[in-house]
Parts: sequence; C-alpha cells; structure tokens
Amino acid sequence: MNASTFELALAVLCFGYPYVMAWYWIVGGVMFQWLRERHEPPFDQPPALAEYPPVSILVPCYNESRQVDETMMALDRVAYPDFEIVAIDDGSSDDTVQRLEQLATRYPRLRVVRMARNGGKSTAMNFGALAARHEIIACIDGDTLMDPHALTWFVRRFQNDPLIGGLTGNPRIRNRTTVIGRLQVGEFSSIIGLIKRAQNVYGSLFTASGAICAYRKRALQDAGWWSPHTITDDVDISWRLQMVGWRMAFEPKALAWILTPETLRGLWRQRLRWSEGGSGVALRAFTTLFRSPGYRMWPIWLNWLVSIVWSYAMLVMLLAWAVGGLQIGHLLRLEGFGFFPGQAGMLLAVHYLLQALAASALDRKYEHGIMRTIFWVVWYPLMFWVLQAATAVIGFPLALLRRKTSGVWTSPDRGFRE
Amino acid sequence: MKWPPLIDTVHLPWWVVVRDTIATLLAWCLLLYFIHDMVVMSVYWLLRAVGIGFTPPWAPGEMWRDAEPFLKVVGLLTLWLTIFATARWRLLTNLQRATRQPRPLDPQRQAEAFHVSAEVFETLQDASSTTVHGVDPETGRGSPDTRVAMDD
Repeated sequence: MNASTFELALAVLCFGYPYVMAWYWIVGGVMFQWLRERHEPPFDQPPALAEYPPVSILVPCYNESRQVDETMMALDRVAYPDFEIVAIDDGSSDDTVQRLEQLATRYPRLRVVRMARNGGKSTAMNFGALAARHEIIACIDGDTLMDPHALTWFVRRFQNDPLIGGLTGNPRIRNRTTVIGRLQVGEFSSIIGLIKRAQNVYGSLFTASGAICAYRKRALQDAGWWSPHTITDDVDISWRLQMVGWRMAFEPKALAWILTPETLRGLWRQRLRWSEGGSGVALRAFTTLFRSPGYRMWPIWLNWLVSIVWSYAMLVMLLAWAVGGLQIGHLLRLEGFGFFPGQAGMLLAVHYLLQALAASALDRKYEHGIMRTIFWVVWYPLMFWVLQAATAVIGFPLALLRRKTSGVWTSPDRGFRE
Repeated sequence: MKWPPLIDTVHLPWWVVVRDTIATLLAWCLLLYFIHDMVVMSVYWLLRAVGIGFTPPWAPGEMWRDAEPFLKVVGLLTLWLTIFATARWRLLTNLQRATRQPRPLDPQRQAEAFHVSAEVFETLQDASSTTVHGVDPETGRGSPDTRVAMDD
C-alpha cells in the first residue's frame, strides 16, 4: 500500500464509520420500533400477567450511604406482587451497612448480605445471587431508582421467550444540572438506545446495562456467573451468556433512573473504564467466536474492532492535521475533509443531529420532554466524540496490557445534587 | 417521592445555568457556521426547483458523488438487518406468553458452582441479615474457609 492509498483509506474510514453507523443505527432503531415497540402498551400501563413468579432484586452497594435510602424508597414503590430485595454491602468503609440494617426494619422485603472484605462488584453479585431465593433476578446499582413497572416488563419478556437468558433495561439519566449531564441524556438515547434497538433486531447485544438488567439464574450458571477478573462485569457476563447459547434482549419499557458523572474528570474515568473493560471482554472472547454458538457474536465483535480502528485512525488524522498546519484535507489530497468540517465534516455533523432527533423521537414515550434535550446534544458533534475516541485509544492498550483485575470498587462521580 | 426523580438546575447557582445556556447557544452558532454551506446548498436545490439559480458553494451533485459509496454500504447493512428481521420476525413481533419455560436452576448446583457448603448456602438463603467471611479473593467464590454469620 503506498502513502496515498493509505491516506485515502484513513480518510474513508474516519468519515465512513460514523456516517454508515449513524444510518445503520437509525434504520435498526426504526425497525425495532416498527416490529415490536409500536404494538406494546405504554410503559406505565403494563398488561396483567397470567402468572407473577417471584423475583429477587440484587442491589450491590459500596459506600452508598448517601444514596441507599432513595434506592430502597424507589424499590418500595415497585408494582409487582412478589419480590425480595437482596442488598449486598461489599465491605463499605462508610456506614452503608448500618443504613441497610435500619432500612431492613422499615422494608420487610429487604435482606442484607454483608461481605466481610471488599471483593468487588462481581463477587458481591455472586454472593447476592447465592442468597437470592428466586429463579429470576433483577440487578440494579446501589444508586439506581427502579421504575415501579420495570419488574413486570422484565418478567413479561422472560415469559414471552424461553430462550432469553438476560435482559437489559432502559437507563434514564436523573441528574441534568450541567451541560455534561444534559448532554448525556441525549447521548443515552441517540447512541446507546439506538444501538441496543439495532442489535436487538439481529439478536445479540454488546452489553446489558449493569444499572438495570435481569437474568435467569440458570443462564448465569451456564455462563459461569460474574467474573471478578473484569472491570466491566455487565459487558463480560453479557458476552459469556450469549456465547453459551442464551439470548439477550433489550426491554425499553423497563426503566431505571441513574446518576452519571457531571465533571469531565468523572466522565473520563467512567468512559475509560467502559472502553478498557469492553476491549478486554472482546479480546478474551476472540477464540470462542470460532465455536458455535459463539458465531452469533461476530457482528458485535467486528463492530467493536472497527470502532477501535476508527479511534486510532482519528488520532492519526488529528496528528496529521496538527503537523500539516491545520490543512489535513490538503495533506490527504481529499479536499473538504478537514478537522474543521468540509463537506465530510458537515455531513457527519448533520447526520449526528439526525440520529439524535430519530432517537429522541423513539424515546419520547418513555420520557416526557426528551425532545428538549436536543438543544444540548450540539456538544457531541463539536467536542464530545473526541472524549469517546480518546478513551478507546487509551482503553485498548490498557486492556491488552492488563494482566489480572483485582476486584475492588471505586466510587464514581455521581453528579451535582445539592 | 418525586417521580420521575429528576435532579435539575434548581440546585445550581443561576450564573451556572446562564453560562451553560449561553455556551450551548454559541456552540449551535459555531455548528451552524461550520455547516452553513450545506444550508446554502439546500436553498440552492430548493430555488433551482422553481427556476431560480445562483452560484452554489460547490458543484451540484458533488456531495452525492462522494457519499454514494458509503450509502451503498448503508444499503448493504440495511439489507443485512432486513434479513435478520425477516428471519426473526416471529421472535421480534410475538408478544404472547410462551407455553414452556426453562426449568429453574437446581440450588444444589448453584452451591456447588460457588464451592460453598450446604450449611453456608442454607444460611444465606434463610437469614434476613448475614455476614460472609472467607471468600477466595482469586476466584470471588467460596473456599473451605467460607462461613456465614447470621446478624439477625
């Protein structure tokens, strides 16, 4: 490959991946809406089920003293007749366990498992699952507020398809006080919501949302339960579960309200962890892709690979732009392809806005007023994608070099609340 | 409890809200400036349809020519999704309850998978408050030293 061919390939990749994927996700999202969502009742009016099997809700907690009252208050509003709550305190250094013990006297459904030593979320989840009395387990984070009808939708979906071993719900952002918080409201719809819908059409998901998901115990047993050797337990268990033959699906009506970082530092740490964890899982899964039923993850794996290559291509482009005196288009002999948008940049920006608009339209039945968040997504095509690409560039080698993950929690940035 | 439990700008000083709003408005202006040629081009096509012409920022059809190969890929991927949607039509559209469900996991198997004794398992299942000691930090599972103390 000579230099000009390389430059052209680079430019085609930098433009082509986000352009093609924007359309792909929009088409997939619309297909999912047309095939499934439009026939469903509103999320706050679930139909009566013929049977309400008991469910265990796992709530792993580490230094959640500030949040856990609210979390339990929300769980107390859950409109499902038969469920228990298993809160697992993973050796918190604050008074989480005392708070949980007090709450258990107020909420009879709540049971508390205390891990004497901090061992990480996966270990906490595993022992929570051991304590859980029921076959279906729903999982939320210690700071997640579950929608009252989420459990009913999860159970209904499991009852609908016996081959589904895991479900991911629809996390919605609670904290929207700053630009970063508000931008993520749009991002969770336009990127994450659309991707999950599109992936659901072909039947494999990259990941369940750890903040709101549900599993059959039997599927978790087949997958080998949660592994302490990963930094993104949700991605890891989703892949292993699908690679042993269980299906996963997106249940958009199972809502949960989550807290997200509202500082750049917090956001960077969160996204870097996601990127490194996702890359680690994809790398470990590679050999299994060649054995049935691992084949089904090829589309997801290839998409991950192209996204990593794209991130590095963007890095090279940015470097070339800097070296070339802000004239990358000229440098690459592809006029109009600059860091400051020429035709290609314009098309990408417009398509991102189109994607955000389509996603918000699909999500508007789950969140009143979501169309207003379009105002804040302007930061995505201007700046936010740089953070995403940068975390992928750094996360990938970290995943390659990381030998073994120690199962220890770090408390995330949860935004500004007071 | 307020529902939905949104945390909005009431917690913030007014100047932060004003700053963020102005910054975002400026970001929109910047974006519109970057894409203004595209807007001009759209106007060009609209006016051309009613017989009014002006010099466009770039040759008509140039953007379509550049985007066409990528749109072909989009077409292929749409076909790919359509094939899956057709093949999985029943699964995707079926909203009925299935007649059969998988058998629940045998609790004994779960306990074995975690290398915990029947006693530890039963205590974890029965008690409303427990403390778990002696977890193997390497595997995140039980070990011969694992024991569970009832706190209630």
